Amino acid sequence: METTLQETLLLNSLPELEVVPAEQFYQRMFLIRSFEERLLKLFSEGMIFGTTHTSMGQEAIAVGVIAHLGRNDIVFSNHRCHGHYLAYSDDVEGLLAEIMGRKTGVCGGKGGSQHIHAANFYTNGVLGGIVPCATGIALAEKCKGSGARVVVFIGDGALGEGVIYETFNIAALWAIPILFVVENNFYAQSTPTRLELAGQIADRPMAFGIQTAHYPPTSVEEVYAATAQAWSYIEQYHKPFCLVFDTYRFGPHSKGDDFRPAEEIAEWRARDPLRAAAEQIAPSVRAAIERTVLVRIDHAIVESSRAEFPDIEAISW
Amino acid sequence: MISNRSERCAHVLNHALHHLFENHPDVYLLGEDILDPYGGAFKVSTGLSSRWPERVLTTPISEAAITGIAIGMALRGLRPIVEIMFGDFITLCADPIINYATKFRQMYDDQVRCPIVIRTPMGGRRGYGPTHSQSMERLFLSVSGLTILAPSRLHDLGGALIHATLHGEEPTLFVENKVMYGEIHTPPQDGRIGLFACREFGAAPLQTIALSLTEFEYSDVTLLCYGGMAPIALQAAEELLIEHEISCEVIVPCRIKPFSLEGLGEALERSGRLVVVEEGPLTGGWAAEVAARVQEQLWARLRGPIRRIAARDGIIPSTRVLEDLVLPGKQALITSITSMLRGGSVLTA
Amino acid sequence: MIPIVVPQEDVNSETALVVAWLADDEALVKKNQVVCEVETSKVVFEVAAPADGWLVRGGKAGEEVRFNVPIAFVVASLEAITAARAILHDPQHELPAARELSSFSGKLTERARRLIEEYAIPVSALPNKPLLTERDLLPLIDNKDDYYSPLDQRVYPLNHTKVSVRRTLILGAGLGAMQVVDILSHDPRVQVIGYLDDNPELHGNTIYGLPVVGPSSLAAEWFRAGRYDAAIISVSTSNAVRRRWYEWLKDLSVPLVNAVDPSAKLNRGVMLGEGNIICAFVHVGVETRVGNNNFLSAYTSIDHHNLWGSHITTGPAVATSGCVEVEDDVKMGTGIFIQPHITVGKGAQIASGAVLTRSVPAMHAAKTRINTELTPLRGDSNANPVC
Repeated sequence: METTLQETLLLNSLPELEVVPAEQFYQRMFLIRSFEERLLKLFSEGMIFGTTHTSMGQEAIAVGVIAHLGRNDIVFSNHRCHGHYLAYSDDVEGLLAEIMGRKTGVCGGKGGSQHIHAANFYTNGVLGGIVPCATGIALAEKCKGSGARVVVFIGDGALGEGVIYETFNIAALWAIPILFVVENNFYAQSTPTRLELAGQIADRPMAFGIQTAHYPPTSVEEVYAATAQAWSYIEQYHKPFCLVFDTYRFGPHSKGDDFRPAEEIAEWRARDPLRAAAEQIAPSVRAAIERTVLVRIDHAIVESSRAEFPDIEAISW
Repeated sequence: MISNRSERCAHVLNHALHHLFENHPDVYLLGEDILDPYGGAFKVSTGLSSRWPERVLTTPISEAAITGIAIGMALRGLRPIVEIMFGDFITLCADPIINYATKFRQMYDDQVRCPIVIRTPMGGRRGYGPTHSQSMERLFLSVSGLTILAPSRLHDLGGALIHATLHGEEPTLFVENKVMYGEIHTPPQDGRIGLFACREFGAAPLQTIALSLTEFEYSDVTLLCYGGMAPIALQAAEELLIEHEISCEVIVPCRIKPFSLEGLGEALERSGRLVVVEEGPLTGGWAAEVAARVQEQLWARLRGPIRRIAARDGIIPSTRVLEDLVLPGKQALITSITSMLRGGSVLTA
Repeated sequence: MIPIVVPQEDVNSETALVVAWLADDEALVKKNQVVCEVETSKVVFEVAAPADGWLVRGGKAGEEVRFNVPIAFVVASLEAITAARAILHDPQHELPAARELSSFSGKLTERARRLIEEYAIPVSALPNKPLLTERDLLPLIDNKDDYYSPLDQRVYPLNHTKVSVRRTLILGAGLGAMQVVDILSHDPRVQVIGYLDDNPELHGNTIYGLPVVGPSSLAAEWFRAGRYDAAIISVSTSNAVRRRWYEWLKDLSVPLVNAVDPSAKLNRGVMLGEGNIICAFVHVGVETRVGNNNFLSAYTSIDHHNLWGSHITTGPAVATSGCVEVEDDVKMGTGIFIQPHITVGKGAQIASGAVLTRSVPAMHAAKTRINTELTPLRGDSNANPVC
């Protein structure tokens, strides 16, 4: 993949990038990867009902972008939200219980895998509409002068929805300080992007005058740096910004069939950002991190399996 | 807030908006063509943008996006009002209303509120044609988590809008009848409106108003309707009494969803007969839902089947002559009620 | 009463000529029905009735009449006919009530207006309300019993289909009437409007919300006046009374309705006459024919291929077998069993509890002796129960 950086960034100065230790990046990415893998296994064991959309392979983006956010900052994600949620909240237990439909879940079992809310983290499962909603959130924060950062994650597939373009128009027109992050994993469900989208992804926000940067598959550090520049732009110019990251998901769209060519998947796996992140840290540290994470996840599974399901009281609206 | 002068309903709503903006810094208005001097397609938003330019946002023609944006604003504690220029365009707002605004509270386990108000004019009788004359509030009757207010010129219009904006627990669809905009606001004065005695049920400013020409002493039929149909129902009730000696009590709710049968029980005690009228089409409309609930809950008071009067199936044609045939008018109500009580053939909608 | 007046459209004429009347004197006319042709110097035009009611004609065909002066009236009640005629024959006729009404500041319903005119109620006596209805004025009318308001027809809900509904009078206001009106309340083609009974103490009562209007003689005059469409005789105790009233109604050409409880089961091929009362859970077997004016109490079971006449009454739980004939005027008690192929002759009376194993000739009584003993219970009745 070539670099398709569309625009040079007119910044007066680069921000002082707070250094995030490699261990932290790895721990967060490994947490997401293990969670998603265990989740698919639980489905195949019949322990979970419904559907889910795993983000294995895309952890670098979730971790790299959200590393810039604090608890007052706001994330709006989509159906493929586990990575974003775990990067934001570290709430393995609440997320797992929610997906397993228990009362102890983040939303009491009512939202499930795709409809999550806790603190300042929101998701919804209908594509497109999250973009105006997130933009409205950003507008509200701007009106309140709270200084909160707002980021919305969409995929390449969502770019089929018209309301996103309506929102690009308004975000640019009204100078709404929001970060749009497009995770281009080259497939919309089962359909390759070339059958979904005409033109170039990055040209779309650009057409409305939104500053856009399009990155090839990168490491978590590069995502982190790219996002830093995006936030600088947003905070300096009080205008929206769009980051487009090329990436790949290793799992199927949800739990169904994956007809993508095996060689293609293998090629992407060879460039797994998680492995790249692992190589940044000492093997013993890595082993310790992995052990801790896996124990935690196993424990969460046991706890959630024992937790109660909600009863009729929960739907006495 | 009740106006003391004779004011047109559009002005009453405009005053309420001014009151909201004056006293509540978190109220915003988003809509198309709402900037002064135009002040909105029906002039309901006049004067706001001049006084509060940073909170009155004129939008591109993007109903879905502006609704979604307003929803995001509401999630974060602001009080946005969205003006959708014609109620017919509410179809474009369906996804944000149905899959976002009204679902957040329930699917997020009661952690958030989304107090958005979507104001829009509905209704025909202005010759605007098929896509600018519809009554579409009925399409949202089954959306859980949505409140629909459709006040008539008899209700506390301003109070209802203020209540919805400041105290609405749920997202609110606020339906304003187009013909009502130009009519004089006629709330009850000392328990009367013109020749009609009035009773009110439920809490102000969203109360249901019942009207009777015979002091609620007796009644042959109870006529239930809302919004723009209310003045027509009152005209029909007057003519029914004068020409046909048929006493018709008219009941007009302000809030059409969630449903409430307040006032109906006592009215049906007197008349035993119910006619429900709406400007929207017959099938699957508000009248159908009300009729089902009344027969479930008030069966013992009914002496006969409930009758519905609604618009004819099909488009609302632009030409006046056809529009008057399609939309239920005073004559349709009179014919239907006289045939109901005197025998004869049914007037099919 | 509403005057029919020839408007002066032509300033050159002083009178108009009544060319022809198109409706009879004292005929029942409808609003906008053409009743008269009138000719002025220029043109012949039609004059229409201004309202529903009875037409009282003034000028004769071929007669000259003046403009702006009533040539006829349409009155709301038969009683007003005389008053209208008096006014028409009085060359000074005026309608003081109509003139005075213009000074009333409120609104009036149409019927209220007509009441005021017909009964000459002075404006000073009118209640001080912004809108007056007929009901507001009834207390002001002396002899208001003479005034039959069409209001009293409006007491039962009407069906909403295209089947026409018959306004029905029930003859008899006793216990039988309560049964009959209960059965008829389920029939959307029948609208009971009231009861007639010759016992004056019952007049003015209501039974299930409907009035006992007056004596049975009203049936004749009301039918002529078109105030109802059909009748049914509710008396259950006397077959003779049932027959007498039936024959009288038939002389008047009054149709009778059947009252059939919704729980009754009428099988294939069953034919009923008119005026029958069929109570709850009655069964009528296949191909059975039933005549007119019968009263079948609850749980009466008429089996297949029976032939029943008219003016028959049964108590509850009378059961016939197949191919039984029951002739006119038979009276049966309760709890009766009849074997197949038996004929019960005209006017026979069958006592309660009878079991008929052979035919009963006309004008005979049939009694089955069942001895019912009454003895006081002993102390050990619980140890040796009787039943």
